Amino acid sequence: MAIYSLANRTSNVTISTATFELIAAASIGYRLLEFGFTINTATTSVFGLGTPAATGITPTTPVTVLAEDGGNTTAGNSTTALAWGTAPTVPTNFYRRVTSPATAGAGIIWTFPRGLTVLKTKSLILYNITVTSVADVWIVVDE
Amino acid sequence: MARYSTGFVAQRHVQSDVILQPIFDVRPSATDYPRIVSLDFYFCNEPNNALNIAIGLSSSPGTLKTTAATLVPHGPNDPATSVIIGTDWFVDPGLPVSFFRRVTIPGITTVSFFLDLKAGISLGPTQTISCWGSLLASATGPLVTEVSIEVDV
Repeated sequence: MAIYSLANRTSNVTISTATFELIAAASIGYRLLEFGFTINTATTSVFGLGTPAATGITPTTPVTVLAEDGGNTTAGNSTTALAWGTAPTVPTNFYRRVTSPATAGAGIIWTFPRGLTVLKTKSLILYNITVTSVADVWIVVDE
Repeated sequence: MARYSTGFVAQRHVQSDVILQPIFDVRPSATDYPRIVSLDFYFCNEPNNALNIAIGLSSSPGTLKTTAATLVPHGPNDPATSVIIGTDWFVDPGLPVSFFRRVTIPGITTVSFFLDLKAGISLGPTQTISCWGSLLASATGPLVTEVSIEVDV
């Protein structure tokens, strides 16, 4: 088990669509320990964090998480995606949802002290419940 | 392993959002490899523009010009450490390929932000970690921030 993290800037702000997906590898799942984001423009934004009803297909240029223990740890496995051939679909229920004010720099950090477990090939998404701002998102996982 | 911390001022004339500039870095010595456990920013001169802060592993270490601060041990009997904090370089560090954290900060003078890195981000002998900044909305200007950093060595 080792800790990995990664930050991305989202691009999709369209209502009722996913804007960020954290995808478990085919060989190993992850436990989400922290999920933080700050919005980048002055747009009131409602986001939800949840398990998509259907995982995204053909994510566009997924990025692999970075090892926080750089001197000792092997490369990470989980990846993030901001666009897809077929986007992930709306979760049935959300673990968390939040409304951010229309202030660039507003944001939130959700922590999961015991980890939010995601199995192999499954994912979590940040979902645009309304039209949103572009956001700087970071995640911390234990693989 | 012992814990160390220090506070220092980092300043840089930064540019618009698409051009991140390094504002400080943390550099291991030949014998001491730090594990960074927290970073605390207090923006003391920020020209009413939202700004962006990001930290990651430098793609190249650059060439240090001056050492900004000395890490102070928390225990009275802990040895001094030779881990270096840099804020000024002859050659800037290289932009990280990816970032551990990237945060947008509101355009309010004296706004502050605390990054709790929990288990910590540790550096190998050839790695440096750098912090990058920019202003949003195509603005340029000075970014002056007080930084407090806590590391285990």
